Amino acid sequence: MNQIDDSAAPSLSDEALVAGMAERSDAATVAFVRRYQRRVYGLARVIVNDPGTAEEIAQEALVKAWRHASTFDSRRATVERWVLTITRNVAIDTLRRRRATPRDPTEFLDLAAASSDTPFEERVEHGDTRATIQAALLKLPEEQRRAVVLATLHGRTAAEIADVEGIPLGTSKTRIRNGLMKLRADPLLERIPR
Amino acid sequence: MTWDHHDPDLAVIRIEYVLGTLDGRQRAQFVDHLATCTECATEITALVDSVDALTLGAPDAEPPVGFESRVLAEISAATPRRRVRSRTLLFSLAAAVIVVVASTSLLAAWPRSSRTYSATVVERPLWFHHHQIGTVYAQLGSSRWMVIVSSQHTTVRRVDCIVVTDTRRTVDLGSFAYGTGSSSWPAQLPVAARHVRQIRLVSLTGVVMATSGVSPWGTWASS
Ligand SMILES: [Zn+2]
Repeated sequence: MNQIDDSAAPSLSDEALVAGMAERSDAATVAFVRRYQRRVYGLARVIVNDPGTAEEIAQEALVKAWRHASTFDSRRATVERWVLTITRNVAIDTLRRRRATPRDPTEFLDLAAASSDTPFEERVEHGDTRATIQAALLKLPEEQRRAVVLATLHGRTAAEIADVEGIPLGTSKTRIRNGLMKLRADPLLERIPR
Repeated sequence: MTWDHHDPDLAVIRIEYVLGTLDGRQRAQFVDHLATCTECATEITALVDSVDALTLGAPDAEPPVGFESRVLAEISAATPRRRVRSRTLLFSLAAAVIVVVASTSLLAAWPRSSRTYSATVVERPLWFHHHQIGTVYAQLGSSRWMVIVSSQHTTVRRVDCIVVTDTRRTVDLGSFAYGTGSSSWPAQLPVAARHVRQIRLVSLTGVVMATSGVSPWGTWASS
């Protein structure tokens, strides 16, 4: 069952690690968890306010990735997108189920901007995925940016966003729509690996 | 219902579909439209792509001390428990009846030699345009039973279940009631599960209402 060598696992590609997890290789599983725990926990931290809840979300997401490793399809998504999308969905479920406190959406960008010493523009120029996403979000007017982060990362409905932001439902829907349509058309996002 | 593709409301509906916030009636109507509209299908794919990409913008954060060991301990503890649970689920579902679909070329790639999973149950998601709308459970080994469970709301009331084998043969398993929410449907596979390439649910007018393996990321989390 453990055909992957302990010492070789850390140098394997993401896809090879997921394939190894699907065969229940312990070495591949350990290497995968080590490689992705900071990404997964980092995303959970921008969605929920409480570090303990973020930890539970990150743990559940990694266990789900392990459990469903055999169904990962590299033709459809990179491993990073796959595991982070699982994480987001676990976080949204948790927020809804427990009525946990979401983090303020503007903190997402502040945290992200503070996460590197290299100037922002330079990172975008060098194809840094994180900086590129942040740059695309920063191009949106602030109210659209907040609405988009609340709707996509926090899983809030238009009605809930209207409530949180103290705006009419129609305004909330318009902000989400305009923000997402701009992102969808932004050539910056086309540079991101799928 | 007809849809005006220049109506800004359609853009909102597409977005709410992607975000999973459409109400049941609107979802059913849009699902019916989406089944036959290439323009909306393309747009949905692009929107899903943009929404998923936002998760990549989050900065890394160092998890608390002991996190890695806790994750690995849970995984280790989950391995035997899960097998028992899945098997129980399959047999209890086999007693019930009804719905859906799905597929997967991945069944063919399932590790036959793995001692953990030989002669046990595999589950595969059923997808309709980036939403998981059900699950197929099948048993590896000599048994050819599978159970399809779905929860799609649509005005399509019957679907055919088509199995595509690894030799590209298609077998119609017959039609069953569909579209009113949660349903389950046991069926005998024409070949062993490891030779199944895909399972599809197709409306009686030929529209594919579900397949597995269309979009493997994300919705796993809701399983
Ligand atoms: Zn359309």
